[in-house]
Amino acid sequence: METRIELKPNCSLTLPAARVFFVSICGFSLVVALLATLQGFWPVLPFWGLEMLGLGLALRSSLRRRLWTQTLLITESQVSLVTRSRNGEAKQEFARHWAKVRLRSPRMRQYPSRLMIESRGRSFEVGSFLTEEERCRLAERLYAMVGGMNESPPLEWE
Amino acid sequence: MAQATDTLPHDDHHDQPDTGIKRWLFATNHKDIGTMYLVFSLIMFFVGGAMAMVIRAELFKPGLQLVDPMFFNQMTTLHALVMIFGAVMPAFVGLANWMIPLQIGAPDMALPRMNNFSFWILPFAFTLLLSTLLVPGGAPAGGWTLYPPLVLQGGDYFPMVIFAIHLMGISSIMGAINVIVTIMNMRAPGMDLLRMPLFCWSWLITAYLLIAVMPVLAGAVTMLLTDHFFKTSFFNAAGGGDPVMFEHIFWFFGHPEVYIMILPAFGIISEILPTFSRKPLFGAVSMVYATASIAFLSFIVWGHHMFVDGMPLAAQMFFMMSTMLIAVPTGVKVFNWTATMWRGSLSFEPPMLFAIAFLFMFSIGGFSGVMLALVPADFQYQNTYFVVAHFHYVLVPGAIFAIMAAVYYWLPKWTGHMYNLTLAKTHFWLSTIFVNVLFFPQHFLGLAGMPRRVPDYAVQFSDWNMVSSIGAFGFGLSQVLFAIVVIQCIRGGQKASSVVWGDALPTGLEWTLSSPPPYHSFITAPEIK
Repeated sequence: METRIELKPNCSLTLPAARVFFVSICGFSLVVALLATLQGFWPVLPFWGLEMLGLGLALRSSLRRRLWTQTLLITESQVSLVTRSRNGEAKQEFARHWAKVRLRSPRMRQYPSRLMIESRGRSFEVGSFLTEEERCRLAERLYAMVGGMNESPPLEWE
Repeated sequence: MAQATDTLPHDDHHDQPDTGIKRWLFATNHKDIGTMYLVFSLIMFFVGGAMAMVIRAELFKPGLQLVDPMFFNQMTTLHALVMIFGAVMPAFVGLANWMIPLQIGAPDMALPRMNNFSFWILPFAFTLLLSTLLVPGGAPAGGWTLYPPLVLQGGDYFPMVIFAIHLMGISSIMGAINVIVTIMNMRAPGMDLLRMPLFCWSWLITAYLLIAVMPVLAGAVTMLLTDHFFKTSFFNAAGGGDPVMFEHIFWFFGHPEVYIMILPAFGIISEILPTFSRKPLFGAVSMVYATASIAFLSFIVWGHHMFVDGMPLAAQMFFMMSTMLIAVPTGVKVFNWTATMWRGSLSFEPPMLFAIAFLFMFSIGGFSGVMLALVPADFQYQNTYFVVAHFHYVLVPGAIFAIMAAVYYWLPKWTGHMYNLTLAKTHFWLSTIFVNVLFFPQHFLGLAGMPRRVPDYAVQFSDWNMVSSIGAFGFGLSQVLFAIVVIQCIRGGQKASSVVWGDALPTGLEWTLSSPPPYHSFITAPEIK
């Protein structure tokens, strides 16, 4: 028996849609900036460039969320965590009996909590891209399945 | 959730924000930042309002009574800059911060740290702007439009004002980018664009306008700066430049800016009227298209601000026609709002009262706008109090009444308390009566030929000026009631339910959350399989 949990952040914008959106907004505002430039008022153009750079970086930053996914596979004996990001894929494995789930409070309230799977001095973060409540809900679910140190609760979840 | 997580081995995780200054200084939560924007906006509303009181006190009777003409002109200029960039725009950004994530089912804004930064720029920008009152030569006095060469002939205020405007622009752009990215990428599964609430739609289009026109403003004021300090001649006729081109550039920014201040108001009214009419919004999709049409048209009407500058007849005709064309999508909106109320089961809580007042009085501003769009008529009206009456009808009972409607609509949701309805209704009636006493006579003054931006006037204008000033003092004092209602509601009161408005049954995701909503909002959005 095994349980697989796929974690991915919510992104309502696809990459092609983002491209179309960005190009259209760039194109429209470039027409405005070029009209001013053609009349000799070129200082509008660098401000247009800076603004589009800002918008592009903001979109990129928000879209990069979708590349970041995690898969948790919990079997009778093992907990494995596969983390995928732009930089590739990393896999961690823990003996289920000796693994524990820990929800760490942030040092400052404005920052999110951190959900960790820890075992034998190793510690890996799960679901850092989730909302606070989702992370708490996931922590609750994982705690029931992985348990604390020296525990192997049954792999069932309501 | 709290019960379940209590069983977890975590260190005192809690669901309450930090207290004290750190909570606000380092805030990344959209609700905290929204609150800061709204409080800032209220403070600026009173600062700008105090300047308006100085103006109206001076105009109470002919002759110079209280302030010298230079200070009077500084007050008119600062009043406009403070009200536009300090009161109205931050209020809408605050409402966007509070409501967009709640309405689209997102946990927060897409870029929370940038959100924090975009707010905290504002107090510095306005400290800089208002501190020009203390420098040699005083504050800017050439009007908020900063026309050269007048603005270049001022005192030490000049670089401070330009820098303050740049800061306000940066803040607005960051806010707009955040709104766009949040709406585009953070909508909950199933929330497609046409299902999105109209407040979000109107803000998406507003953000698009901001993105398109802010570089133009930044470029224009930078060129003023280089003309002043680096001897360039963008707008200097002696060096081959053209000061009239500044007007073109400024109003290419300025007219969309007017819509930046009214489109979110349209969104708010489209949320409130269906709730208290107990009917769905009539023609919701056409409202989106109408908003987009108004936004598009706002780019091709700037010339109507400068009919008397001298322009070819064809250009006058183009700008006149394109301006009048805006009445079509605006008419669609007014028709749809009226049709929403038609045979609805209406109730008249404070948000609804403000929304209905908006509908009537914004239409008055719209009608006088159509009058001003007519070239031959504009030749008569330009630079008179008729223009002042027109844009104040659009911005005060238009934009500001919509902001007040929004605050009264969502305040119980934000605080968890119901406010004093009697006091709020009193605030509404006093505001509505006095705003008309204040601005309606200005139509008569303008038609009789009283010029704007003057501290003294001919005696035949005395009576209506006195009436207008009485209206101003009454309207100003009435706003103290607004502050009292809000502060009382924040401090306590009858508990509000999650739906707040009882049998009015507002639609929208925000009403599925408790009142007040939890510090971190949604527990559903991402797919966890």
